[in-house]
Amino acid sequence: MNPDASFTGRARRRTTRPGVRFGDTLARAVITLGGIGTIAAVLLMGVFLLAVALPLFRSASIGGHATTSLDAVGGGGADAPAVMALGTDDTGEIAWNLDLAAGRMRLLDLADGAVVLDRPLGEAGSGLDGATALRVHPGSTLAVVGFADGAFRTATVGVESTFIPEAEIAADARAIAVGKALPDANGAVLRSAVDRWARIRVVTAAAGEPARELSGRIVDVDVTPLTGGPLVAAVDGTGAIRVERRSTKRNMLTGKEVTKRDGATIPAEAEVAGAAAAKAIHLRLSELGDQLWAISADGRGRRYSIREVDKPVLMESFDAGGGADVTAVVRVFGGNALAVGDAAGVVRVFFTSRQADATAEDGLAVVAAKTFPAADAARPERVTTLAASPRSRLFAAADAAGTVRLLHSTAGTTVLSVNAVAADRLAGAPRLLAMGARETTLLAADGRGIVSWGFDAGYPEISPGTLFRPVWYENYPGAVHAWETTGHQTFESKFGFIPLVVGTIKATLYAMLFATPVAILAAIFSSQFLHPSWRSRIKPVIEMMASLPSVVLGFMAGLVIAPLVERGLAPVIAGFFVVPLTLLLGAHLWQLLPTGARMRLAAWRLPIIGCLGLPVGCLASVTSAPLLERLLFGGDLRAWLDGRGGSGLGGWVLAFLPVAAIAATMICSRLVNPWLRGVSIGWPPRRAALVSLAVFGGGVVLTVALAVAAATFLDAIRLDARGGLLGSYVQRNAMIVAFGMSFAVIPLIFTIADDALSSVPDHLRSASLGAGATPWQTAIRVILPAATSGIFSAVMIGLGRAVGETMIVLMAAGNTPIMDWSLFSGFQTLSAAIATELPEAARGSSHYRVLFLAALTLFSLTFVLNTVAEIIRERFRRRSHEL
Amino acid sequence: MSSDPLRRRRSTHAALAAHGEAWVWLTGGCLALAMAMIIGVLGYIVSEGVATFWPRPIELIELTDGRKVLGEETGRDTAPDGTGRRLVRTANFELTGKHFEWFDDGEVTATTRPAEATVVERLEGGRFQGFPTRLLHGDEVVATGGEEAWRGFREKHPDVRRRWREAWRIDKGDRGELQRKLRAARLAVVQAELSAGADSPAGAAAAAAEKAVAAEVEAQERRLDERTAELRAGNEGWGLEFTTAPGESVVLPLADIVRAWQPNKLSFAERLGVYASRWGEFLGDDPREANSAGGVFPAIWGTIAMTLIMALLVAPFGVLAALYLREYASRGPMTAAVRIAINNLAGVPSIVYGAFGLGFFCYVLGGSIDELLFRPALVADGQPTFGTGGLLWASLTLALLTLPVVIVATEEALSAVPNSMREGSYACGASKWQTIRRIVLPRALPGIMTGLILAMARGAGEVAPLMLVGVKKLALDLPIDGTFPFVHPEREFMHLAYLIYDVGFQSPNSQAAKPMVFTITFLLVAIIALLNVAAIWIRGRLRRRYVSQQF
Repeated sequence: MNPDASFTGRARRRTTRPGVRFGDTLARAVITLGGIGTIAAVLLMGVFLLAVALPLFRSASIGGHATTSLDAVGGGGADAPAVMALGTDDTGEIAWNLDLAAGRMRLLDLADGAVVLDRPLGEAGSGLDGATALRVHPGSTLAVVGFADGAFRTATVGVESTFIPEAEIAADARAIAVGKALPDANGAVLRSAVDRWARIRVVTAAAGEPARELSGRIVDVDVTPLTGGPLVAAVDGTGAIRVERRSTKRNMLTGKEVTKRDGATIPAEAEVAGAAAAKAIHLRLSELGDQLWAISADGRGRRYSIREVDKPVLMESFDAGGGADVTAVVRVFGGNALAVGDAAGVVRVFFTSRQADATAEDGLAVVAAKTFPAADAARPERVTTLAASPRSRLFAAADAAGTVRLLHSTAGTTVLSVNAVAADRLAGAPRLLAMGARETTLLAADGRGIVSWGFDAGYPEISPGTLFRPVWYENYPGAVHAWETTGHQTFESKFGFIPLVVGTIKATLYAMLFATPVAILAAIFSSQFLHPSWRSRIKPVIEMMASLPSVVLGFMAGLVIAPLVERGLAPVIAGFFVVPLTLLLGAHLWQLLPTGARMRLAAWRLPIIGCLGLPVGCLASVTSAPLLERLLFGGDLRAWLDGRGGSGLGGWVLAFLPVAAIAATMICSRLVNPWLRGVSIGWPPRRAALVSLAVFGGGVVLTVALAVAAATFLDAIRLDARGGLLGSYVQRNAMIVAFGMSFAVIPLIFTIADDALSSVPDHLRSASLGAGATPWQTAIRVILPAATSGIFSAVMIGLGRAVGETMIVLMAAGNTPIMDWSLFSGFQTLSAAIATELPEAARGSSHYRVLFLAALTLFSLTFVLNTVAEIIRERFRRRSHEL
Repeated sequence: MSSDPLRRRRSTHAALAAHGEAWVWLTGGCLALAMAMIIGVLGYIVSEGVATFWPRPIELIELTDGRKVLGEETGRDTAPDGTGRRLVRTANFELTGKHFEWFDDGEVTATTRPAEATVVERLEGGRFQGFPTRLLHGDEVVATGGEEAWRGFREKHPDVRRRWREAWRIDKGDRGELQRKLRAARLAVVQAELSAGADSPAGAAAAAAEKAVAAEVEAQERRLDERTAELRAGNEGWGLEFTTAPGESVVLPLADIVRAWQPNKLSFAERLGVYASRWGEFLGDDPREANSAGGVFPAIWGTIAMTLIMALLVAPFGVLAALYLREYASRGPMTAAVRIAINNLAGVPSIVYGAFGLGFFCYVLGGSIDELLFRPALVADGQPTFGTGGLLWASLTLALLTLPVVIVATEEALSAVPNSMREGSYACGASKWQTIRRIVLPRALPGIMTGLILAMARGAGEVAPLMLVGVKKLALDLPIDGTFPFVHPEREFMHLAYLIYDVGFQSPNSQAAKPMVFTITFLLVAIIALLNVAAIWIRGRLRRRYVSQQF
């Protein structure tokens, strides 16, 4: 036969039309690309979260350095006293250096260390000549200088930079390279970017009248800007201290400005005036101007309260040196803490905090909260100088060996370390340090040269230590876990993750404790004891609960349930025990019915329980609540929770009731039931039911007796339930969240558990029933074990939902990052912190990244939980297939 | 006693215990509790939501200290000592400093329901309750006496209201339009300067154009000013004088009165009229008083717009991914892993998607778009266009959130198509794509639709991620409106679910806002229930179709 002959006689085309082929290829390409792309995009989410969070743990890095030799430009020489100031402009590209010993003001280009401007001071009559002490307030140009004759005065020192509009840029400035500067009349012009030029103006001028209350040579000065005018302090060689506040008022009529000086002189203490007088005293004001710290070179510190500047009060004396001489002191950014360096190379951070053993009348004590050991523990070198960052709690310390370290006062860590003494750097140990305005440059100077580094500190305030371990924050009485991120600019942000993690665990735990038993038991009933036609109607209703938006649940929990429970706390607590008790009682009464009636009514059990059992239970809890309150909590539950009145007995009784109930059940099933089984042969059913009721009553009494006994024991050894699981009641608390969350979690667990239970092969069930087991025995001994893994995966998925739930927690938990396990206190969770704080966090800031870390934590946690659930479910599916 | 030896050994107690009746009752109790919870919550929301706008009678309460208070009883409870007390909405905030007050039953000597007691809803300041006495027009007294004044008010108020509405429309719509025009012209100038320099001919042309636009805008504004002044003059002086329960006399400008009724006098039909009018305002108007009164139209619109755009985004990608996984990808551990991963993503907390949306869509993607396309706006007033939350980013974030739901549902629908149909199609010589397009997809469509609708229901109720990517408490400029280009994907918008959080938890007068929250909740739950019912209905249809088509 001809193989090409067609059956119908018509010739058929045996090739696919190109159009079809093309369509097929195109569809394959589009679907494959689109499909893979979509899946990749979704999975990339985790990668992105990681990419945002990861830089937090990047270590700091330091760039190249540039050195300027001051010998070449007429430096003061190594031996001259270093009355110098160092700083940078706003961009951090130009450094300024005021050298009072040499009488010069310089501008340096930090890119290569070139001197842009080098100008003598004298010409403008700056009034700074002959100064013996100088301090510039970091981040501003406010300064104070002191002189050999005991006079001191405020001044403006530093640079001011302004952007130049494009039209005003001179031709020669246009020609300079990016990052380079050109000297001009009173400063320099800097090209900071391709299209940006800035004018940098040098300011060095004394302002206001000098104060002449001190007579000795001024050895240290300090200044802090307050709203009315600066607060200045100075100490002279005799140890006498002068502190004064200058306020300038403009006379409305004449337009003349009148400067008022209020202040006081603190005479040198006897022992200071004596032998130690030769040693300088370090003097520092707090940023807010309420405290004055004086630390003598031998390490004796004094703290004065200067809330009233004309009446300084000595608060306390403290030891600042730890045995060694104090060599350098700096006020850390924020103005509440001092970093003190000593001759043994150790740097300590001091601040005041409320302490129980404080001797000062304001109840505060100076504490050395952080200690940074010497750079080289084997060969400690004297700390020569310290400098604080103008924008964070980072500060720099240099020692006599030339090691410059960047330290972080909150984290208590050494961020980076670099050596300043080398052939191409400084000849001697740094005498002065400075950090650039943007915290990107570090400057160190000895008398003869200045070296600068570019650096990137990364996120020094974040480390696994600050996230997960207690940190001693400024002015706190001790190390704590704290999460507190919003505040003004100088606020010390507290990025302790633990309160949020505890809040998350607490919300999840309590919600699951309530929701899991309810959901699983409900699933057992609906899959094993409910008529299929009922079941098909009830299941969608509960599933509908799952589609209720969480914001609705949160609103119901926070604004409806919370006030309701607050008013009726005792009935609610009673309900936890009374309602199950009522149901059990109902079951035992039910057994009294004749068998025939019971069989006929079996299908109506759910409505009977729901319409009769539950309401009666609720009624019983409402009526029994006052009694319970009187018996256990001295008549007022809320007062008892607040710790007023009553012993700890009541709380323990409630806590032990479930345990006691389990124990009582065990005793009944091990001892009473076997005995009854033997005795009851041939009893009429009614008699057996009555006896069973009696046993139940006995069990209840036994339960209560056991719980009371255990509670009495714990109370006798002076343990109180308050402070642990129970505590003061706040309206929005963990119990409310657990209620609200259970609305979201119950349907989830119920649906999956119900599916798992009802997908156990029917032949198992039939076999069990056929062998004579009751439906209950079948459900518990056959179906439940077969469905265990399915139920477990249901719980895992419920857990995943509870961990990340946001709106319910946001609306019903009160959002206070408190760390305790009380059922009745508020808390904050990771998700709520993200929701409330992320919109306000500046992009790229450590706050932003920490919140992304929280998101990443939630992501990985739920991913792991769900994967475990999925794998277990898969195994379960296979096993039930094999059964 | 039976003679059967087996029967003799049977223990009645053991038989009773085997039934585990007590445990069954416990499990039944849990199921009943779960049912009670859902029915209780839904019932409460529905009853509160439906009842909010129903005009309830107000009472004149006389107290033992001689004080008289006019108010609507909104709640009762029992103090611990057993005496009852009532929460009364006393309104008149500017006079008493409070909206609500508690009264012990012991304090109250008499309650009456005076027929002329009037409730006034105002533009601001909350409700006012009192007795009308005179209708005033400037210095002229138009009507005196409760009856007369009320009749006069009923007559005049619609006119005043219409004028007010027109003036409001001009202020909100027309002026906003002019400002937008002006801003567009200004941005064009910046654009020209950026691209060609300030002195270039293009820059000069743009500057000239801006000047022309500015002149035109000014002229039009003057015209609008005249019109609004005329409208306001028409309303000027009209006022209704009230006496409050304590006897103070207060004149309310008619233009400030949104609606007034005398609840004790209303017939059922009139009551229904007030009810319908308040629902009408709720569904169709802008919010007033920090969202605690007025309407929620922008939020409804925002919710719908966001949900629809999300559905448009999620449908093609979800179906593509599912088609790939089910029809094209080779079956192996890799595909299984991907499937598990996608399943898991459905369980990742929504707030994580929100963080991703803010970080990636708004900041990375939006920031780049701004740099590339909207530099003028960035330079001119430092305002990001796409670099901040907006409709597009919110829709995209929610699309990502619901994508796993759609993929899983679609996959299930695809796998429910019997393989015999595919094989039949191949046997007839159809290509793979032809089979998918003509055989598989049509059969799977109802399942896909179900997944999509469930995704929409989830998206409509999700709010945590939206708080991060573009939902605002007040945004009257609709994201889809009548001005070119009609869809404004960069605009921030309002959302019903967020409104619940905002009004319920951040409102200064939370007690008065509570009924509003219930109404919004009712609306939202109704929308979601509708979507769910639709999904169930489609699922039912799908099943029927398969039963009849199985071969």
